[in-house]
Amino acid sequence: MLELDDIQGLVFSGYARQPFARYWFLELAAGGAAWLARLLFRISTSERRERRADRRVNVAFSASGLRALGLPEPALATFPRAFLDGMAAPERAAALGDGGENAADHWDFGGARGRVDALLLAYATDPDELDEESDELEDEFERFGIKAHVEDAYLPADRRGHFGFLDPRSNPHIRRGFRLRRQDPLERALPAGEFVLGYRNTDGHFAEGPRAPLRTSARALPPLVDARRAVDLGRNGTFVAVRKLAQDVPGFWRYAAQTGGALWPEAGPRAATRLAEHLVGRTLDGARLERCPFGAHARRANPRETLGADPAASLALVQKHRVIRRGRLYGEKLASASEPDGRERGLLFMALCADLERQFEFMHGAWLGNPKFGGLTHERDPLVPWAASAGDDADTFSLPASPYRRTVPLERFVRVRGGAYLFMPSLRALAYLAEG
Amino acid sequence: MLPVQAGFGEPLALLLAASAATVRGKLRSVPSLHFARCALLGPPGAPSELLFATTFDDEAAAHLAELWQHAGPELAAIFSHCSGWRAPATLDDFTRFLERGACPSAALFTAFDALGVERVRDDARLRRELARFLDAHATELRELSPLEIGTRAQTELGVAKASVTAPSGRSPRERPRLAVAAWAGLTLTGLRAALADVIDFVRELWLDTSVRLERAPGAGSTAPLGAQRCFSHVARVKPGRFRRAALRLALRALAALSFAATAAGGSEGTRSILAARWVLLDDGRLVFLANHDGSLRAALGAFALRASALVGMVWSQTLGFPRSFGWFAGGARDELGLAAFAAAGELSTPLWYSAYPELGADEMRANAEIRALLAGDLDAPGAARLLALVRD
Repeated sequence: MLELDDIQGLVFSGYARQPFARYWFLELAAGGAAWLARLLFRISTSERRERRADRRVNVAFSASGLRALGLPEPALATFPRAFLDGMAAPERAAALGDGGENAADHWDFGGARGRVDALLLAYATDPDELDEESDELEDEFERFGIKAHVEDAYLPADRRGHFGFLDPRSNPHIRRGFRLRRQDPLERALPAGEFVLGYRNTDGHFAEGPRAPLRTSARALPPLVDARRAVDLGRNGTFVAVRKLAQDVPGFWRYAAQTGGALWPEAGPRAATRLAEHLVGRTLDGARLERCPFGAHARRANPRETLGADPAASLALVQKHRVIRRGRLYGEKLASASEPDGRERGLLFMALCADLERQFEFMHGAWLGNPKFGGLTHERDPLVPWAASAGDDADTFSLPASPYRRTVPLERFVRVRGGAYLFMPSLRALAYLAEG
Repeated sequence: MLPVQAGFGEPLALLLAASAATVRGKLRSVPSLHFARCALLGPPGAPSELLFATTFDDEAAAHLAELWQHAGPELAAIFSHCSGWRAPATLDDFTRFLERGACPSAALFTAFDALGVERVRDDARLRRELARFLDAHATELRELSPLEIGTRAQTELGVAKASVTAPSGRSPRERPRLAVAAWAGLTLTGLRAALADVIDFVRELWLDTSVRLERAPGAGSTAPLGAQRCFSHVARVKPGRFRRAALRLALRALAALSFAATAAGGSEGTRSILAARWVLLDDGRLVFLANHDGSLRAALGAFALRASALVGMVWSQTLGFPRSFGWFAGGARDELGLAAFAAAGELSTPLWYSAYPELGADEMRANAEIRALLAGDLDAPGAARLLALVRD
């Protein structure tokens, strides 16, 4: 059975009832463990009967953050390679396509401009509650000499992103015990081990999880492993990939109007929406398209039964590479796409998974950024930033048409502005780390 | 496999890193060369062996002559770090040197089958020309039927019928016989390997033979995705004559089966693999070299799901491979275990070359099919298929 009271709340809930959020990307100083010890009682779990339903707080750490908390190097070495490298490392950047203007040198956090040791997340039902919680949390930063880069994020009331598309809430369902929440064969419930360490995954195996030296404490610590010589630091934890993605909303709709208008002059103003829907792979209201382009964003992000000739084999492959998305918008919504206001806006994207390489990076490399996806030869996801490499002409987009496909030139509307790989420990692992 | 002179490992690694772009430029002029690589074995920073591998058309002697003609000085500079190299070298010296260190492939798979380098490049060019033709005449062509469009394309692009050769050098009659032989070999291998697994299992009741899996420093790719990538791997064969015999049998069976898979256009599990080979060294190491498109993790995932038996029957005879029972259960089906095994034995490959680095395996097959359709007598279904193959 899942130990929900030991798993941080963000794993099982997107906190839809707490639409206002503030994220602090922290650089820890000496005394980070003491700061964490004082933070512990605020951390929300996945247990449904939380006492403080109006506010939620979660925390995650990067490799440098765990080091700052005093985790010894041998214990750090038990973390997976991708996590230890960090998102800005060259091999990881190659897997994610972070080059050129998307390179870590230009990021607001996680790159050259600022290290990310920890990510502190606060969610609240209204802005006043969020401010109150923020004041309390920020007092602690001052006390412990912690530097913070802050980002405000929110869930829009109309559930529409900056580009105007309804979020279909297509997160995978996590199997809890034997109860299946949905019977849709295309959206089978997945084992918890795909997203939470310490449980069996789709293959019936346990994902690679970290271990740490045994320690005596009055607190409840993670369970013992290795013949009682170490604790299972990973159990009930998860890995988090966070990316700040700036979205050029006026540019997107200007492009859609011009290019769509040239493609379907008979459609009038509807042509822009039609092209935008083809790029996204869904209608504005979130429904799937009947003739979805091979390279559309929704199809690449979750190809479901469409990889190859065998739908069952495709589903079996796809379900090994899903992530839980916990994205929120930042920046005010643009009132009218035709009236640019010069302000930055976009998505603070978060992916939760048990294995960053097998799930998050795989999704990027094999589907979103793969020019050969679905029988294509030189196209990439229209809504995911990707650096053009030398000789790369992957800036077109093809639409299904009769008697043959139509191809349009593509522009880029999304840029990476920050990112980090983090580990969101269990409550007991947090208690262990707080011991310093 | 070329031994590096004592003390020359570090300079060799530096040279390979510094000269990779220059050597690639020279290799591009070698008409028979599909792929080439230099991988390093031994301690990081001070390798003790250089693995030089090429995949080529035609005869080895002619290929070596071409290599020497187009990239002789650059390769000589690399090989001068190895034992047995004498400077100044001639073509004969170069040939003798490589022949001394040559290790035959125990099993080889290629997505391009009997297609030569030029033909693969030409097929890609033809596809681009067809796409350009369709785009340039879109207004008029969209009024026509697929068959009319296909016929116009045939006329416009002028593909000669003689340009299409059989997909394989072997006769169609030979294929079923080879496939049957392969499966017979596999069954034998499975039984033998299963018996070896039982013996291992009993041994492991008393002995801890678990292997700590860590990726070698310097391995791992920073190449852009979409382009081809290379993967070089080494594993040690489990001790015992029984294992070696099972492995040899497995490789022999796989060699025949790879041919059958190639002739059938590639199995689902090998669709992202452009070329792969296993080489069994005399000292009990098993080297695996592959060129693939997309991420390595994707290729391994496809293997785990769809071709676990193929890779399992070979790698299950090596240390560190996920526990299997024969090649029927476990093994490569454990995707995480397979990824850990791959990472643990991955070799640093500072120099890698492909004659067509932008092509994927499926794309190559689609390009060949486009040529075949354009060169043949087109009917309505064929024309529809032709247009469907041009997806972007």
